Amino acid sequence: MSIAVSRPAYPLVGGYLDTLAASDLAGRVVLRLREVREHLGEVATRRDRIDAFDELSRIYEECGRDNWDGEGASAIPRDAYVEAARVLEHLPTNFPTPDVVADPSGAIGLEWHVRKNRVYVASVRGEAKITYGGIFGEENMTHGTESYVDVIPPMLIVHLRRLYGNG
Amino acid sequence: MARIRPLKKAPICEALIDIRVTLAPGFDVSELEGIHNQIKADYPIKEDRVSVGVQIDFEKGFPTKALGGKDRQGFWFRSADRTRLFQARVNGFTFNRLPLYDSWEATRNEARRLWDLYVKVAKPVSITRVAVRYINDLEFPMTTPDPAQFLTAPPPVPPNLSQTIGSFLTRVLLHDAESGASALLTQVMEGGIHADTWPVTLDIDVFREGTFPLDGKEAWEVIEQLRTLKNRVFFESLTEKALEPYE
Repeated sequence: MSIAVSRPAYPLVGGYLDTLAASDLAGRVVLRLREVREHLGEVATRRDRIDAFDELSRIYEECGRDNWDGEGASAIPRDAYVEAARVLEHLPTNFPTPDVVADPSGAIGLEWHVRKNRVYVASVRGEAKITYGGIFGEENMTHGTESYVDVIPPMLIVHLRRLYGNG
Repeated sequence: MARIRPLKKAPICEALIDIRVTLAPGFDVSELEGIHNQIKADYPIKEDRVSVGVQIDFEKGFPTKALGGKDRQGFWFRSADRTRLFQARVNGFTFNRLPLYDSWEATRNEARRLWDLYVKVAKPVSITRVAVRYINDLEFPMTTPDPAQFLTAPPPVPPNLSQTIGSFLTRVLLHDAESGASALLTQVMEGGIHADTWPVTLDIDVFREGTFPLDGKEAWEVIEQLRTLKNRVFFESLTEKALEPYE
């Protein structure tokens, strides 16, 4: 009997580091997965994902209070930081890493730029939702909001494939 | 398994040579920064490498004290085009070759040159581990979704369950009795950015631990052997069909 791969992308190691299990055995599995993730992340070509986490931490540190831009910006709440970190963690490793930016509304944005009219932004503000908007060429656009709890909404994967594909 | 041969378009994403050392007690890590003066023309970008640790004390389930600290580990020196990276650390030396990969000979020769500079400054008191690690990014068409067409050791799925896989990660640590080396073989498929292909990362980390003479001669001989073992692991992991796009 042969096996077959399917299209949906599901985070492998990242997803299972958030465990609700309480046993020692479950804890040992998490430790093993952390070792695997550290080993996989040691290589220089994966630095951009680690650098994105560093940038996210820097943004939260600098923008975690009101008026962080001197023009009345809202503070980035901790829950937004946690949600953005989850998205980065759950993004498949072979997907391009986004730029991380702070929004004066108090949201954290993850931005992917291919070129001038191919851009996608997903933003979180700690409300268990992802608000997104994308331009995929001259006349193709999308925008909306989706719930987000533990797993990246499939629409994010679909949109990124469209951004980097021919759609 | 595929026949071992050179590939014109080898799917190498990153190649690295890593040597772990012990330095003399009290070694001042800032001395490693001086290496940059000798390589600035080829590696103009210098980065501090720092590890950060936090210790949190708890009492009756609540945090009572938190202590943070930064520990300087060494320096990264990058080429302007960011295709080459030289890591000079207190625990060892690494040379990373990023795309576009040229050849083993060029990678090894540059690593050896930089290693000699590292040794002159760091003056290690022992060499404890040598490794060669290659990360390969392969893509297979969705028109052939069966991993067994491309991988000689795809993940096994119990026969009475669904045979459709969304993602997988397999990791085995192999011991090669002939060379005394170990090979950590990791296969990862998480779904790709292009909907018509499925990508597989083949991460092959081959290493030998022990005590190597400080002149480095044996260490570099072993590195050549590790490269040979790495090649064997790579070609044994793939079918001839998998390699067709990379000829």
